[in-house]
Amino acid sequence: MNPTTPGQPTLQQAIQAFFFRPTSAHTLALIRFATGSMIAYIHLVWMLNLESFMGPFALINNTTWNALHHGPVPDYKWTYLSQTESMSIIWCHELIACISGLCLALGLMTRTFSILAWFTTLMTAHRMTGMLFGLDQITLMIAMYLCFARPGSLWSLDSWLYGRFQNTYTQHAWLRLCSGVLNRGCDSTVSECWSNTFATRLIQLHLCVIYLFGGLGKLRGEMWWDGSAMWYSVASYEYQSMNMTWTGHFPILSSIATHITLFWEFSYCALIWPRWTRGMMLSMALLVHGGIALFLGMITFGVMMIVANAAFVSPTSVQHWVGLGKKRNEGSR
Amino acid sequence: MELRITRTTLELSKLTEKPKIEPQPDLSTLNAGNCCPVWLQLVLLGLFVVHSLGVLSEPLRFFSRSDIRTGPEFAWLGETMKPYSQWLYINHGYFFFAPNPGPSHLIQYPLDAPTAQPTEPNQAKNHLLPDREKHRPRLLYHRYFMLSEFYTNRFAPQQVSEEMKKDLEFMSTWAFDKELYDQLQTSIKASLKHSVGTEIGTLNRIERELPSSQQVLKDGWALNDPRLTNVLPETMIEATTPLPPDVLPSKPIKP
Repeated sequence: MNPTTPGQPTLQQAIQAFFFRPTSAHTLALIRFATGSMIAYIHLVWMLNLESFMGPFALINNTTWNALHHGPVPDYKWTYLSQTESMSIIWCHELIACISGLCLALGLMTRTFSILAWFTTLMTAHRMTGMLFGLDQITLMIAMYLCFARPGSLWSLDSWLYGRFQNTYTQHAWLRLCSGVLNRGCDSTVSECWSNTFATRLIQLHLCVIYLFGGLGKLRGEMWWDGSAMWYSVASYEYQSMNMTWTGHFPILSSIATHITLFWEFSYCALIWPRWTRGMMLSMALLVHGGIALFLGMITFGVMMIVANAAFVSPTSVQHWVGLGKKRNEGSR
Repeated sequence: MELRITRTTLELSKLTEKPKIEPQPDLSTLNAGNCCPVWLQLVLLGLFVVHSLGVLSEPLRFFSRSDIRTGPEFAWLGETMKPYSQWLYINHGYFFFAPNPGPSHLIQYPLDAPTAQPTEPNQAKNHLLPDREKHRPRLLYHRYFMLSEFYTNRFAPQQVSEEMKKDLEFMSTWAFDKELYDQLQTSIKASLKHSVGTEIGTLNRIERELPSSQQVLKDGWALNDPRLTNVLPETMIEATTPLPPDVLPSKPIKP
């Protein structure tokens, strides 16, 4: 006896469709570009003052790093950067990481450089104990999941090169392997692949966990309940990048904004899935993270949170918008 | 007449029409062509479950903590998944601006014998980590800001009260924490000495409290008003001391 009504998928089919239904890489290609660019920028900024962050004269030198991580209660952070004091090796590592980020953004040998960009950034993150924040968490999370997908099959140098030198790609397996073009079970001509769906689901679910616990954490604080959290966020001199203290003249509005942020954050994991509430949740994400980027001095973090939210925009929508943009451009010519 | 009825029925049926639903995937084709083979799907779903436990383990352990204990099942999960979640850097509590927005912590260090020509009068004596004027772009500034917060979080007092000395468990933890804190302090001082080319005095931990809307909007305090800053004590006995007004080099910001 079939327990489901006719036409309704079984649980197994629903899970299969949720994780493995082939989708195109339109959304992931945008995420790839933003994440790769951010990785390159992160390493560029480390390089601005590299001697202060790594090597013999680091603010947290290797001896201190080892004492912090491998004391009586050892942890599992490991990086080769904590074993060396050679600035040449450190510079090489940072340059490779920065170039990998750029290649990921451009979609050149995407499979190889996505893994390399993630790994080198992870090694740096492990070494930079005490200097990391949400930006590193989100960037590494997205970069890790991109390694499973085929974000280079669209709007990339890989797809351009494949179009020009199709025969070469067909002859050389290593080229296909390194670029991620035509990997097992995927048809490059339609650029639809189950791994795109799987990676997108991983980003989406991880993001839901982040918002759920972020919201639950705020629920513990009385400032988020009495509506003063918004004021105290904009009144922090260290975070402020634009003077927003005028919001204090409108305490009711400021309080409403605090409560909306609170309810949005902890309900995100449930309300982002139904189609009729998704648009509202994504608009709120854009507002909240846009606000953090512009007013609270964390432009990089705000941007990456918006990029992570883009995982909930369907590839067909991205394709549709890009198509509209192209048509407009052609019309204006 | 018949035609009119048909038209009305059509219009009504348009109104009661169910909202358009995106076409569902043809599930029969899921295992064919460009799809993932079933054995791989099963492997990936198994790995997904393990990975999800890794992602959830740290926030669950973090949230189930109290002064008395940590929820035993979450403590176990956290310990079990620790190698995986820590190395992948997915072991976070996600406490962004939670539970409440709090005060900021800075490191202020005087130079014992300044060699460089100062550009502002009080820069000769006192430097800050982070410094909004000096540390640019903003991401670089934020890195130093996180370091100063980390330094304050790792604080262990240089001396403890006689009463605390009787608590042997506390004393063993304190001895270890103090050693780490001293090591961290030495490391930061050595690095700063290398970058400025001169000896560094004591590293002061500065706390900047958040002003109320009344202080800013009615009393006219700047967000970096010296009255909001305190030097945090290095022992458990000292009280916080207000910072002299000329110590912080940043320009005042008026709302």
